This record gives sequence, C-alpha cells and structure tokens, in this order.
Amino acid sequence: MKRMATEVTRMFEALTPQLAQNVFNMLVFPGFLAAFIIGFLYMGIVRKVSARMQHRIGPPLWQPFFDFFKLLSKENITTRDATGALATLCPVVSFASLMTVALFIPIAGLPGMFSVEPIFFQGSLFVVLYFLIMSSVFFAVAGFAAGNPFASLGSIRELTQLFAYEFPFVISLVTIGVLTGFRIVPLFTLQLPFAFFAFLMGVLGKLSLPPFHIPDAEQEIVAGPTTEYSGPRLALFELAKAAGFWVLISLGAVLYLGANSLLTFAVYSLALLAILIVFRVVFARLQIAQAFRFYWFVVGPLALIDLARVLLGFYVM
Amino acid sequence: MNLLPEALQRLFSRPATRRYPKQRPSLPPGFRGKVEWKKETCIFCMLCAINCPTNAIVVNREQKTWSIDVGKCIFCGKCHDVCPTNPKSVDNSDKFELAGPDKDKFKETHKK
Amino acid sequence: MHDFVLPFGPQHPALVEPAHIKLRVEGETIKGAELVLGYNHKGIEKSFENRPWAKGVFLSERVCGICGHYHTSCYCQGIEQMLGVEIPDRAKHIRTLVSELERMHSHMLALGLVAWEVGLDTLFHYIFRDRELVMDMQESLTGNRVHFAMNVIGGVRRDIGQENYGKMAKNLDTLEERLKHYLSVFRNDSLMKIRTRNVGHLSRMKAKELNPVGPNLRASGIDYDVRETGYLAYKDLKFRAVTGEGGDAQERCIVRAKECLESIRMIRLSLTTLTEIKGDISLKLPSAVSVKEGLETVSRVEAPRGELFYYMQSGGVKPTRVRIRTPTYQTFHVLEEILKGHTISDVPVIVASLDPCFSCTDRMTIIDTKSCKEKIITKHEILHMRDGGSHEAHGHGGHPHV
Repeated sequence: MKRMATEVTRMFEALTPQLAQNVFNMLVFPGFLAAFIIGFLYMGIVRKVSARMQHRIGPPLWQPFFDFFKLLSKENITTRDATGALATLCPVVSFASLMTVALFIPIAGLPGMFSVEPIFFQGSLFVVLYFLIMSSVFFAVAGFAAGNPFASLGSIRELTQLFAYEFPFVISLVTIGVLTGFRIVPLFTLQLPFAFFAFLMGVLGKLSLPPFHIPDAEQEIVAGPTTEYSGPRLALFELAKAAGFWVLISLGAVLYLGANSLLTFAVYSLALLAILIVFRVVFARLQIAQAFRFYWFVVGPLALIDLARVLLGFYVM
Repeated sequence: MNLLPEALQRLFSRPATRRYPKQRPSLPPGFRGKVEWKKETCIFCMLCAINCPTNAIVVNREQKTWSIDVGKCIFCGKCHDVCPTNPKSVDNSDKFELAGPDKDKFKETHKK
Repeated sequence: MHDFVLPFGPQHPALVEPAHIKLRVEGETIKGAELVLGYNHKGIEKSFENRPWAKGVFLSERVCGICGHYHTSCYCQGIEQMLGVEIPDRAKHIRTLVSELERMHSHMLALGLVAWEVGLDTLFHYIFRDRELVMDMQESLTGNRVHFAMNVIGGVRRDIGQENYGKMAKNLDTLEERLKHYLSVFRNDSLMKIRTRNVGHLSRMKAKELNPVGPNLRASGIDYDVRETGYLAYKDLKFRAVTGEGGDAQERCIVRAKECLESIRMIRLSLTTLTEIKGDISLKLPSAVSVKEGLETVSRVEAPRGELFYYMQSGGVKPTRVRIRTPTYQTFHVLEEILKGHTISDVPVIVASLDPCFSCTDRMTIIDTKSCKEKIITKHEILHMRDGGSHEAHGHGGHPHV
C-alpha cells in the first residue's frame, strides 16, 4: 500500500507542468468534463427554453443528466442483426473526435492543448474540419451497424445531409481560415455575415436541429441511426451529442464572434444557443432533398460571395 | 416564421400547463367522478344494478351489501339517474385519480 | 438501388393507433403501399346483440374515443326512426351543440397532429393548448371530457343551463381568434407550405372514383356533407358545407380549420336559440325500450371524419344485427393511391392529413401462422364460434374492445 503511494507520488513528480496541463485539458477543460457538464447543460437549456416558448413548463434544466445516468444503468441490448463491436465503437469514436476538436479551440482565452506553443498546428482549422466530419460519419456508420431499416434510412439521411451542409460549412471556415492563416484564433468576423450564416446553418445540420432534424425524424424513421440503441450505448450517443453542442458553439463563439475572455465567451455562447433555440421553435422539418437544395443553391453561393470578397481583397481586417 | 411573435411572447408569460400533483385542476359542477354510495338512504331497489351498462354494480338485498367494480365503471351516471330515493343514495363524486396496480382493489363492497 | 419493404406500423411513433402500411420503397421514394388492418378488434358489433337497446347507447359510445357522441347520436337516431318518434327541439339543439363541440376538438386534434408530423412541435403545443378550451366546455356541459354519455333514446340527459353561457362565450371568442390565426399559419407559414402543399394530392376525379368521406372529400372540391340534409337542428342553424379546391394535405387542414369556425358560428346560434326553446329535453319512454321485431333501419350522421352509418335490425328488446360503417373505413384505402411517388418523409404528413381513426375502423383478421394466409372472419363464423363455446370472438390485450 505504502509502496503504491510512493509510486503514485513519483509518477506525479515525473509529470512536467506541460504534461499536467495536457492531462487537465483532455480530462477536465475543455475536454471530457466540460463537454459533459456544459454540453448537457446546453441541451437542458434548449429543452427548457423551447418548452417555455411553447407555453409549457418543460423538464428541469438538469433533465439530460438524469437521462444520461438512467441510460447508463440500463441493459445493453445488441439485436440479432447488429454488429456489436462496431455498435460500441461508433459512439466512442464519434465522441472522441469531438473531444479532439475541443482541444484545438482556444476557449475563453485559456490556452488549449493544441492552440498554444509548443504543439501548435499551423493548419488546425483543417484538422477540426475533418474531425467534425468523422464524428458525423461514425454516427451514420452506427446506424448501418444496427441492421434495422429505419436506422439504415437514418444513416443514409445523415450522410446525405453531411454532403449537403459540408459545402457551405467548409467554404465558411475557409473564408475565415484565409484571414487567420488556417489557425483557430479569436476573431470577430461578423463583417462577413454570409460566412457566419453558412456556419450557423452548418451547425443546425450537424446537430440535426430544426429545420434540419431530418436524420432522426421520429415521426418518419423512429430515432434514425440510434433506433436500435439502448442503455449505455445510447448514453454515449447522448454524450456525443452534448459534446457536439459544446464544441460547435464554442467554435462559433471564438472563431466568428471573437470571444477572448471568460465573460465574452459565455455571453457569445449563450447568444448562439438562443439563435439555435429560436430555430428549433419556429421551424418545421424540411425534406432531405429540400435541405440539399437549400444548402447547395442558397447557403453555398452566399458563402462563396464572402469567400470571393476575402480572396479578392474587398475585406481587410 | 409565423409563430415567432407568439413564441417570444410566451417565453415571458406563465406556462399554460400545470404542475399536476401539486396544482389541482378545478372541476366543474356536475363532474362525473367515482360513484359513491350513501347507506343511509338506500332502499336496495336494485335499479342501479339493473341499469348499469357494464354491470359494475352488484346489490345484494339479503345481506344488505352494495358493491361496485371501479375497473368496470364507465362513469356514465346512469345509476344516479335511476336512483329513486331522495336524496339520491348513488352519486358521482369528484374523485378522479382512480388508477392503481392492483385489479382486486377496484372492487369495493359496502355494507349497511 | 434495391427496393425494400419498410414497415410503417403497427407500432410507429407517427401512428397513435395500430395500423400497418407496407411501404415498398426505393431509397426514399415510395413505389407502392399496401394497407393491412386488423390489429384492434373489439367485437362491439357482436356485443350489441346481447344487450337491451338502452344499454347499447353506452356501448356505441365506446366505438371511438374521439367521436363517441356521434356514435350514440347515430344509434339513438336509428332507434327513434324505428319507434317513429321525434325528439323534442331542445334535445335536438343540445345534441347538435355537443356534436359541434366534439367536432371542434376532433379537428383541432387532427390539425395539431399534422403540425407535429411535419416537425413543428410549437404549433402542435399551441393547438393542443387551445383544444383544452373545448375540452373544458365539454366537461362543464356534460360532466366528462370524453365519452359524454349525453344521449339517451328519445333525447339527451343533461340540460344546458344559463350558468355556462358566460364562460362559453369567452372561450368561443378566444377559439375563433386562435383558429383564424392557425388558418393563416397553415396557409402562409413558409415551411408548412413546403411540407403540405401538393402533398398527398387527391384530384376531384380520383376522389369521385375512390369515394372517401368527410373533410377529405370536401377538400377535393366535392360538396357532400350529411349535415346538409338538415337532421337534428342543422336546418335551423343554417349549416353551410365547407369545401376546398386543392385536394392536398394543406387543403385538408384548411378545410378542417374552416369547419371549426363554422362550428363556432353554429354553437353561438344554438346557444341563443336554446334560450328561446322551452320544454323537455327527453321523451318519456319506458326504460326497457322495445322495437317491433324484424324492423330495420339505416341511420347516418356527419362525424368529424365524415359520414357515419349505422344499420340496425330489431329483434324486440334487443337488436339482432348492428352494422357500423365508420368514416375512416370509407376513407383509408385512398392512402394506397395518394402515397405513390412521395417520399418516406411525406408518409406521416399524408396519413395525418387524412385524420384516420383506427379504433373504430379495424375489423378482425385471422392469420394462419402456418400458411401465412389471412382471412376476414364473417358473421356466420363468429356465430358458429360462439355455439362451439370455446372461442368467443374477443380481442387481445386489456383495452376496452369492440
């Protein structure tokens, strides 16, 4: 017992301040714990505020936490047609890739793991982009792994929607990237309204919020990719969704609204959340083909206008 | 988009739903809840038992008992209508929370 | 791309009641639809035959939880026809008034569900909140929120007193304003329009051919409403049928909303008329009603979903046969036609826009699991079963079965 304690102490002594900070970044902030608490809190706020806007009381703010822990305590069911290993892997990878994204964002002016020297990616914007796509793809793969027609349809929709919103979303990020040298730094870029609009639409698509709650349209295809999931696996999907809220809203607050202190970060995040809630409350669901046309022929060209402005030098920081 | 003005207005008004077990609904006069029996006035004429559409009421004239199966009752109030006594010995009360896990508990027998 | 069969129901979030639609889909596009019913057999038609006429009133109300009052009205109307009696004017007006209240709550339920199916939860919550006003009125007039038990053979059971008028007038004013607002939402809301216009289109020609009933028919431009025959008090209330031209899901919603407004107008008129009509609310008939043996009649009323039809044959103190044709039974096969060519995301919207009610529609199907052959059970076979003793026709589960 004593020897173990000394071993542990020695291990901690061996940790360099840099390593300690990295562990903190990964596990506490802006990594796991922050995604867990703040992400679920965002989801709770969305549910509560939209309930009030719908003239009803709604669930308590901490309802997503209750749901999460309840799901964890439930039985883990693998259906006969499902690929069990893949089914477990998908939510984990989906969540992990979102957590990686969080490490690249200099949240609230605090140094993130990959956002300060010495490990500072020059093109971190691209890394973020790919990890965000990976998260969505694995969400879709989970649906295919379930072996259920509703889940398969949900996955097809998820992937179609990914192709739809990714075009304006990438253009929007590239527009900002040209200004920042493809790094993620706090930057106020509302002078580029179309880029911000494209980003916002992309976030709605990624989080499958109205009017783009197409992949998990309960009235049409039950729960979409997660139809066959229950218990801890579904809890992991919920966690991944919470992480999605946390990461995407943070990205928007930092990269588009330029949050560089704790206060501005909180204010901008909540403002973004409010916009998402309004969308959730007033919009009906589009069909997948309509959403595709909207992203490619409305949002995309608008985003291109801003990209052209930046590239041709009509915009100077 | 047509819903936005009302949605913003509702955000700051009191919700229309009620916190049910704490906040009681107000029942209108003449509400038909659980059927209750007053032993003082009953004359055991059997009319309620005969007219009950679901045969939920059973009256035993010899043993002077009146029983009802709330699980069978459909709250139509027919027993109240046909009761000949004054004041009526069968009446709908305001009780409406009648669900329960035990089927046998729905059967009640009252003795005079 | 392969086409595969996507089961829509019997258990599905978009369907409140059990029905099964086999959708043959290619990707998201529907190539064919097959309707399978028979999950919710209750045996009500059979049950009529072994209880006296007066108890049958309460049984007929249990056919449907949404439009129970129409079933009792239709049943009582049939018996009154056979007896050759006419109910007092006051009873007629009260029956009509409760009918129209029930129509409003049924139509608002349908509107709310369409809103929910297109993913517009907010509209769904608003409509259901306002529907509660109708439910409150029903509760204070009849004593129950659903299954009012308002009708008896020869009249109604409760009078409508002046004490209800103030609250009702207030509620009706609110409802009128709200329904006009919802009408404009269904007409003008951009996403609502995208999702419902030209969806599930039923042309006038096709409507004539397939012959659905109720708002679904009227939305296709065919003016057919049983209320126009002027039964009960509809003649006094100067009823005008609401028709539409589009024949799509949006038009069906608009017709329903307009019918609610027409109902409000009639309820107001009815309330004023009721202050003038004095007299009994019910005929004094013996409690054990007896109809001459062998007499038969058909009775029909306009339920929220369309024409409701009862056929009755008397066997003295009990009927020997009661046949119910519910509106959804007459409408639902339209689905196989109008679903074709749409995508899966349109299915819930189209189904909800038809406002189906399976509880009263389902008939029993027996499926032989060995040969997978289905057969619909006939009256003769049910009789035979009962004589055989052991398999009396009954449904499955713990719900009040027909």
